[in-house]
Amino acid sequence: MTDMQDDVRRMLAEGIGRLLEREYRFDQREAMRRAVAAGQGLEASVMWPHLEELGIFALAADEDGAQAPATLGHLSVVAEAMGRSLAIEPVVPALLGARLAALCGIGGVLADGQRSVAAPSLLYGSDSGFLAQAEDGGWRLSGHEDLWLGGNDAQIVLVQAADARGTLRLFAVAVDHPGVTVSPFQLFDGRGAADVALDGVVVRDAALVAEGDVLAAAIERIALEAGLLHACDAIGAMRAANTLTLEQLQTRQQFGRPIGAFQALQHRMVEMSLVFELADALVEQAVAASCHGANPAAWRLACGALVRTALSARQVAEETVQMHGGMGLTEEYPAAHCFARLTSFELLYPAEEWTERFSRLAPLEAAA
Amino acid sequence: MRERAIFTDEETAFAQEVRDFVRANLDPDVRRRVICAQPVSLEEKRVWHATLARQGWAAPHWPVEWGGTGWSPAKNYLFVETLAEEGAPELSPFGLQLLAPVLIRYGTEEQKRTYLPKILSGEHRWCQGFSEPGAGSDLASLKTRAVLDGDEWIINGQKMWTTVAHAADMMFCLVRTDPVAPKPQMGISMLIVDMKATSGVDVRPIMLLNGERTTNEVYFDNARVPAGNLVGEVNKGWNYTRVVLGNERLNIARVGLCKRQLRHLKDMVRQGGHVGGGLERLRQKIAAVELDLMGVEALSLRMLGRYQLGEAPGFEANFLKLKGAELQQRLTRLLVEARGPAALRLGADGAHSCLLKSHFDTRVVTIYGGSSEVQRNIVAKGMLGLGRQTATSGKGLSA
Repeated sequence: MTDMQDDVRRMLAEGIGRLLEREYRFDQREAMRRAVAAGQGLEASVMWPHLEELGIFALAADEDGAQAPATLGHLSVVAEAMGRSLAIEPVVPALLGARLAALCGIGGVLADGQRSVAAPSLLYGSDSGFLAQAEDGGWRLSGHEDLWLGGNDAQIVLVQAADARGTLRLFAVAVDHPGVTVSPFQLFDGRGAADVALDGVVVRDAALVAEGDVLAAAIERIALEAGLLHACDAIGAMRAANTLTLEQLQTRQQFGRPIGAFQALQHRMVEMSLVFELADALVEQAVAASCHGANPAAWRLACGALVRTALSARQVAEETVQMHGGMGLTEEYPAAHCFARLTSFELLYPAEEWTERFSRLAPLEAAA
Repeated sequence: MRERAIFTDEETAFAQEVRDFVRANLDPDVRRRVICAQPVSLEEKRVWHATLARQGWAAPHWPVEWGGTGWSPAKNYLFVETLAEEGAPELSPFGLQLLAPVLIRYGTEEQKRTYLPKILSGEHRWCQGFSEPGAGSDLASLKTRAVLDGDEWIINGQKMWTTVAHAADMMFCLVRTDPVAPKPQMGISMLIVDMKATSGVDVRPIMLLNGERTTNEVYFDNARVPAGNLVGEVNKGWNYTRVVLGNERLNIARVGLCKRQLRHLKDMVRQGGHVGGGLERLRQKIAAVELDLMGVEALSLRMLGRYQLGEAPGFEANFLKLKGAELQQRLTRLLVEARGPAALRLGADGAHSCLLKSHFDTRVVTIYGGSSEVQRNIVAKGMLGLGRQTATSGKGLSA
């Protein structure tokens, strides 16, 4: 049997763990949530510069790293840590932006602290909302896509646009380019996002990042990695929710004893742990299988990981609130924030939809 | 398996060797019946046991000196799952999996020399006398008494749910030897009973709705067995029971069996064996169960990884017993649903066995070997620390 862990991964996990303990307790996290609500961005983040210092964005942007099998495994550690601390900062979106750029061979261009965010259609593997029209020495881009996670803090948007023939190309457009409208808002879970519209945006050829086989390969892979990194975030949030709920069962006294003394609640807590373990094991395996790129076996496991994580996330989210009682609905206690974070995941990656995709990968009619 | 990079090339090649062996050496008709969930006789199982024994594969997990193979946990895992996936009948676990590890650890040299070779060859068929009418999930409350009289134990009482007792040569059983011990667990011993040579042992069938006699009641009426039939020390039987119940955890979710059933289900649907409309709904349900199986396999492989690294496993085995049993039931249930009302026929239904019967039989998997409710209790107490008065602080659920 081969070992799915490696030393870099362990060191990264320890480094981020220490950082979060020091700089990202729940009250510090809440300060960041309020900052986003007040329209502030990453300039308000205490944690972000430390993450840059740890080199995680450079790791994602490294073009050699685009081919290095271990990279996705390393990023998965970061994503899980962000979920565990319910981080407000758009770490996963920034990693994915840098990653897509690296996969297209322009990672170096953007590596200088510039945050690129990839269009949702790229991350969720849906149809592009943008059209591209060739013009002299450049392109005219139009269209819009909603709900860019981390789009409120983007400096560059990576959009995939189809020409009249349906041929896809990837463009990098600065958010302050004429004709670009970024409309920021906050999600229920506290994270920032934006809707992005391009209205006849004229860009030069230099903005064309990738096309043809390079782009096709990059798109296939970024959708796979996006799903898995978002799943890792949800795994982290589930871990946090289960820890909180277990503490609640052990400490909350009713009827003269801890509520965890009641078997009905014990068994429900066991189910929460069980669905967490299943999702965690499957995501870990899917990440290991996807390190070498997108292939049918990796996609099969990834679909399984996404479906399992969505189902588990919903169960853990709902049970967390239920077992916390009224406290589970309050702003001041993290349980409700876990609910919100997990609900984001399972709405962005609906179990039914990914079950469908799984079915299409291995149709029943095909011989076993 | 290869693209997942979970197993090494050597391990993957080994799994193929096992696959080839089953296809070359197992009676094709037996294999077909296992795959279609139709009955396989005890005699046919004995023949397969002998085939494996000749290959040196009857008890791979035993120590080499007693006929084991010295394989790694990964190979042992692959061996069991591949056999099941390929449709090999399961060998009776009582001697090979349950008693043998206890004898090897706690038995006398003479007991080992007497019993182990015959368990290995399949010459002796064993049954397990644990459950009683009043002691099921609460096994420690068992009442069957054994009293030492000179150089013999005299046994009185009743065992229940004793699988294949009617065809067994030997039984290992739990008996109460100290009725006033401070805790019920502390007054229990393990005894070996020769089912053929002991008078005062009466085996009566318990007929299940499936129409088969697989399980029994066993009455002891002043049955006398030699003092040397005590396993380990007197009143320590409960500790040995924990060894028994803790064995065979590696394959506890029965991933190979589930994969085989899933393939059979898909084959049936593909060949038009399903009835009525609703193919699309059926397709979705099959996809859902397949996805769940992937999760169970991933967790099994994680537990295997722990064994392989020599780490102490956590509570994965309890989760896997729970979830694996549930999966088996969902799979047989889906076969029934796919067949529709035709599954109600008793006896053969065209090319199909009575699928409802096999589904009914599968209800037992959430009951035996520690019921699902008992598994949840174990995890709640052991892993989560719930239900203990002393537990006050939270414990993370780190994997």
